[in-house]
Amino acid sequence: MSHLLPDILFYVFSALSVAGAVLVLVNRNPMTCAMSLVVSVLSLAILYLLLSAHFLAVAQMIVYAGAIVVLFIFVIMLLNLTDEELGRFRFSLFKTIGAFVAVATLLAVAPDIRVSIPAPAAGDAGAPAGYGSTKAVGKLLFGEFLLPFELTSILILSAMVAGVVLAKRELQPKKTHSLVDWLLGFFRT
Amino acid sequence: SPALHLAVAGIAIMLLDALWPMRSKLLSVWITLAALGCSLTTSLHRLTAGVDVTLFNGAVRMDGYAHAFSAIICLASTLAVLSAPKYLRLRGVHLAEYYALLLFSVCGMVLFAAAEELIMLFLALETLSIPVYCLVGFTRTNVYSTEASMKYFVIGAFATGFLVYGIALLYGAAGSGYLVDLRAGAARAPGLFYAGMTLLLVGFLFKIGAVPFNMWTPDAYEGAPTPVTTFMAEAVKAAPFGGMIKVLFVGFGFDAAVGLWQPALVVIAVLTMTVGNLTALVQTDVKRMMGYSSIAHSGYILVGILAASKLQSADALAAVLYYLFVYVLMNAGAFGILILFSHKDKDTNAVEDLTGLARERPWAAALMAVYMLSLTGLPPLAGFFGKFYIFSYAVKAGYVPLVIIAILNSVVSAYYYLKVIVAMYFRGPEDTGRAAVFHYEGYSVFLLAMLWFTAWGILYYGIHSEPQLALARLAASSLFATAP
Amino acid sequence: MNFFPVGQTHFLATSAFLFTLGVLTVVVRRNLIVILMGVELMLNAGNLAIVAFSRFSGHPAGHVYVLLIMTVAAAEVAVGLGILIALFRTRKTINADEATYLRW
Repeated sequence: MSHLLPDILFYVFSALSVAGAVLVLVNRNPMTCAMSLVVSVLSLAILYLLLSAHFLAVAQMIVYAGAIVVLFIFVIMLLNLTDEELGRFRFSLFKTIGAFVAVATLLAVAPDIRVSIPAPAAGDAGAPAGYGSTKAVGKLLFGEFLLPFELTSILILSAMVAGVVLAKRELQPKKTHSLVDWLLGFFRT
Repeated sequence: SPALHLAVAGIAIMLLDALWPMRSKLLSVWITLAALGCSLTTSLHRLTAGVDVTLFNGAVRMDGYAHAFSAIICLASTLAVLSAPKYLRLRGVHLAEYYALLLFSVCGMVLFAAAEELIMLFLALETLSIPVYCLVGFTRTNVYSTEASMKYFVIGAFATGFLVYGIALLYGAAGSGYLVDLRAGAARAPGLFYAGMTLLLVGFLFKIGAVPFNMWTPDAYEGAPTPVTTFMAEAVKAAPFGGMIKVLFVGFGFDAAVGLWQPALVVIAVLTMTVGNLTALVQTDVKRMMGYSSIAHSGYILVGILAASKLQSADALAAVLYYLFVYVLMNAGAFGILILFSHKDKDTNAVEDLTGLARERPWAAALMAVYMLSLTGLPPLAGFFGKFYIFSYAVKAGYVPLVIIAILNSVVSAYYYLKVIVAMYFRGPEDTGRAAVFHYEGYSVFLLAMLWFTAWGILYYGIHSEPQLALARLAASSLFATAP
Repeated sequence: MNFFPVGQTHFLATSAFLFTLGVLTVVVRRNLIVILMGVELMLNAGNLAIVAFSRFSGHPAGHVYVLLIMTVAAAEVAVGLGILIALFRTRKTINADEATYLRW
């Protein structure tokens, strides 16, 4: 009976994450959307645990549930949005194309999953020791994937600059208090 | 490597501006130009020297192909930077961050053409597009600008979602992220592989603005400040082609089993050209018209890619590289003229604004005429040679109906390009009843340098296209070396 | 409920569902913040698929992929919300429909 537990867990949490996603879609109040996004993201973290990706599960919780959704909630509060009236479902060309694309991807992917996956790992062959552990991921991250890691630093820097430039109230600082002038100040006296 | 110069320069500008804020910001402009210049020279030098180094155990490969693309991209962004200072100062948003963001984006592009691995490709693409989302919305007070950046962002994020899922499926099918052994995935898990491939293609087509996915291009081009539009129309359009060609050739290969993407591309190429040209016809706004014409041009480039993939020959790909190079020159010039006459609050976008330009500013009108004629592809100019090479290879590759459509499209495009010239030369202010007033607040030396360079480039490279082609052929051959 | 061992296909099915829901959210909803959430869903679905593949094919690099995609997602949300605030400041609403100045 014991080996059934992971299966039960899987069904429970994947159902939870899909339910969370559906709630994001249908909810009127953006705040409840954010909450259901948290539910969906956290249940994903638990699915990662099932896949013995320990480091990722914790990272997911911290990054997604902790940071990104908080950002969403912060902005929702900032702009104090009202309920969005879902009533009038305007039928626009763009929406139909999108819906069609979505359904098509689902159909395209679903049968392939069933059919074509060779069974490399029958059932749950025990994951190699330390498979998902932080050490393994860390060694890989700084070993083989050093350049992508450095590139993320540039990516995040530009995202920060973009955020500041777009959101800051007034850009040109009135009083230019610069280090160099301050240094030069010593010699001017 | 070139990317390193760009990143360091970007950070340097940021620091400098924080420490020593000065009104004119000229220093940051010079640093940007220096960085772009030296990365341009290094990539050209390495291209000729045939340096082929694989870094970071396979994640990136700076071979001839990557160098050629980084050269084109650096050239395009130098032209975009040259056109920026005057325009931004007028709008009061002349910040050093503009150049820093631009440099980060160029750094992403250079790595994008060199990426050998799926995740590296994805990251480079993001480093490329996130600064551009911000640049489009740079003039925050301008209502159009923020709205354009929002639209561009939503569509871009949507494309990223598709890309991630495509990468997931391809990774699953092939078991490893490297481009070279993606093809093994086709055998292992065909269903997944094809689904992943289509998703990846959808993501790429969003980025280059091919027809079924190009809702963002006209709005983003018109809404963004003109120097950003210049940057977008050239560098941000050329880079995804670099990555796409690499993924298609190296990753998906040519053999029949995987040659699924060729017919798909044919349809998309035809669609892109026709819709791009037809919609451009009805435009009154020159900037938006340029947006549509850039869609049409990406259609021509798709034709070039198809020909190169069918013939699997290096010089067909060289034609594509050459066309990209010429396209960059033409576009930069055309936008440069628009910037020259843009006034503080009202950009001279509409065609009527240009009426009677020939009488007031003969030189500017002549330059604009050169750009427009070259865009349509008239014989003496480089535009013609670009199209000529691509179409000749396409015919050799057997895509004859495609070429006929392409030529028809060029004829159609001639109409709306010439409409601008007609407005400038043959119609005076009496027709539009408005005094042809041209806000000419003095030129910025950068802008003029850019305009003259592009005009000279178009004239010169039109006739002597040989040296360029040789370089391009060298680059293309290195790509085919990797594609077994 | 047949409890056959939970293979890779189950995880992929969930991730396919999540992806489709994400796409639908982006397409159907008008509120721009919810559209951003839809994009997050799509990225999460991609992550789940990558982890599932890496677990069952024993290829450890998948984790690094997911980690990097997370950072990208975070950066994108930051920029997206920045643009949103800029948009909100110039125009009092963030409904995608109202942003229709730039018609062709």
